[in-house]
Amino acid sequence: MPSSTSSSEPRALGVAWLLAVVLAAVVLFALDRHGRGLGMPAGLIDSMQLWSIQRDRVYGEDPEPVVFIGASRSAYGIDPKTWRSLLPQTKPVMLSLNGRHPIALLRDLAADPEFRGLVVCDVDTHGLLQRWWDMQQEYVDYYHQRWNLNWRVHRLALNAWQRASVLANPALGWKAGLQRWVEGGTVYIPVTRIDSNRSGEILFDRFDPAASAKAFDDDAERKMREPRPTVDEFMADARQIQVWVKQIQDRGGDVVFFQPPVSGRVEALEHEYFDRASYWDAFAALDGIHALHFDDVPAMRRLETPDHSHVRPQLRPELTRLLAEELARRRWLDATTTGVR
Amino acid sequence: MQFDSFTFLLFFVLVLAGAAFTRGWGARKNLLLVASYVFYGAWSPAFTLLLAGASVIDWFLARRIHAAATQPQRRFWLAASIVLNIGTLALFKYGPFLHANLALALAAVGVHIDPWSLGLVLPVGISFYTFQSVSYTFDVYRRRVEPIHSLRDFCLFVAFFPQLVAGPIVRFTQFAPQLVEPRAPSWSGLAHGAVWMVWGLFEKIVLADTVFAPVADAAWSNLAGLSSSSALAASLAFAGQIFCDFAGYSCCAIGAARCLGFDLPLNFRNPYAAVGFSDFWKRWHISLSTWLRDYLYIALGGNRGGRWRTYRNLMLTMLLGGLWHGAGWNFVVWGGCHGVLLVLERLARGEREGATNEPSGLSRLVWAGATLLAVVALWIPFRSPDFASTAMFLQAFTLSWKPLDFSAVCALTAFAAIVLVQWLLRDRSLDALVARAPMPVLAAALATLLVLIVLSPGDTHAFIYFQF
Repeated sequence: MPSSTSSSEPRALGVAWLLAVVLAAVVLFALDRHGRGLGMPAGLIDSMQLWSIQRDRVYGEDPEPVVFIGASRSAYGIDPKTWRSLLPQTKPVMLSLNGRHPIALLRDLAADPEFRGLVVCDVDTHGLLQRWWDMQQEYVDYYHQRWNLNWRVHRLALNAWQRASVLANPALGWKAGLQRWVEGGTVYIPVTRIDSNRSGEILFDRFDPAASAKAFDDDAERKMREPRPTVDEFMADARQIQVWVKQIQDRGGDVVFFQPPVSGRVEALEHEYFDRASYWDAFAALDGIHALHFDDVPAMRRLETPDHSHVRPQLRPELTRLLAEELARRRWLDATTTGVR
Repeated sequence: MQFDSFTFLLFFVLVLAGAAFTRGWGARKNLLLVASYVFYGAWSPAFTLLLAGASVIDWFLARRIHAAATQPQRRFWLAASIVLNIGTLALFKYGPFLHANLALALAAVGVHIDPWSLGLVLPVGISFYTFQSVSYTFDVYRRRVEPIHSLRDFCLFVAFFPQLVAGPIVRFTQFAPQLVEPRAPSWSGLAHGAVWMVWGLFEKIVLADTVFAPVADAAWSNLAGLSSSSALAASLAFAGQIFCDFAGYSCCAIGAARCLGFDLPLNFRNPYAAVGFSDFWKRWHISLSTWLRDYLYIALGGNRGGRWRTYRNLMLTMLLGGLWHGAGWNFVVWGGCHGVLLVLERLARGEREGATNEPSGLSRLVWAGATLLAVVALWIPFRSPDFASTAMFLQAFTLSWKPLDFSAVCALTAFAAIVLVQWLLRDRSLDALVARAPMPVLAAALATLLVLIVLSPGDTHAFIYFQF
């Protein structure tokens, strides 16, 4: 027999719900304040869905899509707003993915009969090797197999939630909190920031860039200890990439390969490990390939990279401007878009 | 559209408001039908044509069966329904699998055929709505139900969005009366339905996606790096994941239907507290196991032809039940092993016939433990993409024991808690618990669930059973 306060009565269940919602709201509000007090900022978190919203934008001809693909150096180095202000006839689309070389996406765009834009592909010699081609395939597959209107609406609503509350960050989730409580440790505060157009910046004031530079240097050293592919092996891979470039060019689009500025041992990976003349320049000399190395643009060469791999956030507009000007100077932009302001 | 998405939240609020303010039962059913097709079309608008086509054809064929003057004619129209439904399912779901096996067989005799090149995408939920639709024509053929006059009502029965893509597989006899009697959202229905939905979201988001999935996914994506401890943790984590994922979906479906004034059948009844394998199948994916019993096992003869025929029928039913889950030999093996266990159980219990068939005391605990152990072990081939992966996973149990990380310990603890709770609440339903709970306790429990759901942000995962 239910008690007088049991929830079998609809009224009691309704009151229970009302209390539950109020109690949950109070607890969540308090946790949000606590999270902000720990220094957690509210902001967008990158995901396949956020990426797919941008992937949807690569189509059309006016304005001409300029699709930035690559890894973190362009994701945190190129400023689409600056690009748009310099080249208003173009539509910058940021598809670069932190920590993943981009050839899978280049292959996908080449196979897409509707894509006719310009691809600016941030990649170094290492990233051109076949063994790294599939690093972004997971995102490509997600876009073609699972992305739909449902997830678009969901992600747009999620953007609003992530901007509104720090609780949207998994670092403040119950599981991460329980882990900190059991094992000790502090809340992980993000060291990058990303906009809804997926351009972002590295917040060097939130961590020690010297430690990060050492980590990048160590990684470069590790790569340099691996057996180096022969020039013939490299060029075999490069010629396959050339085929995909040709497919895009045949539809009226184009591809520019671009090495953003780096320093320290990261730079040595290009100079000492891969002899530039035998690898990068040989690739650049292939028919139809446009390849720009930061070393060839003195102003770009001088941009500071505190962690040896990424430019300071304040230098993003400068890097973007230098890139746009250099592409225009080399006449690698469409005839209608060459008037860089 | 997934229950754990903001899109569904928006959609559901609009449908609820529409259903509440629409006057007239016919208009409300029209609204629900349109909403169901919008829900399904959110995955792929093209597949709504397949859904509509299957519904219209079965509605028509059921009428032909009913109107047929002779038994051969009735059989002909039933066969047409089965061929069309199962043929469509076979084309989309089993085409590449059948083709690959045919190619292998022919290659053995020196004949080579081109690889499968149709590149068809599996329509989400096709296995569920096909079974639901074909059960109707079967029931009309068996004269259990009269064919429904309204095409709109039949389409709503097949496409009713809460259960469309992952069940429960609803019978026409369960749903037809609900299409006759007008129903609308009510405060009571909303309050009860919301409890089911929040519980389902808790199982899916907090347990399946946050606690269990990371451990299982990490193990199966790096089989070479497994130790015996991580293999154990991963197998239990997947057992927890698949239960919470699927039961979570079913709870959301039941809750969403209740909010709209409809009742859907229970799909899970504390399956990890099963005592024996036949008991397990009375508790796990109940709507499928009863479907297989009624339309396959009994159609094959059931237990009417003696002991060996019963065993054969059990095996065939479980093999096909395994294949229903996916086009792969791993699913067939999974179903086959469950079939063998059911046969062995019948053999073991048959020896004690004359006494009670239900174990008690210590033997009850031993049966329960053995059932759980076997069920968890059989999830390994179910989860593995191929036999080589299964072998690699099993081999890891012979390797050294390494300390578990936090996520694995968390998953193990959660799985133990699930088994304990299911054992304690073995034959109780969520409704009974809610009815007995004092209001403040219920309020605190609901608040806790809401807070944990919000505090489980992460990538939204597809429900596992969508792919079946």
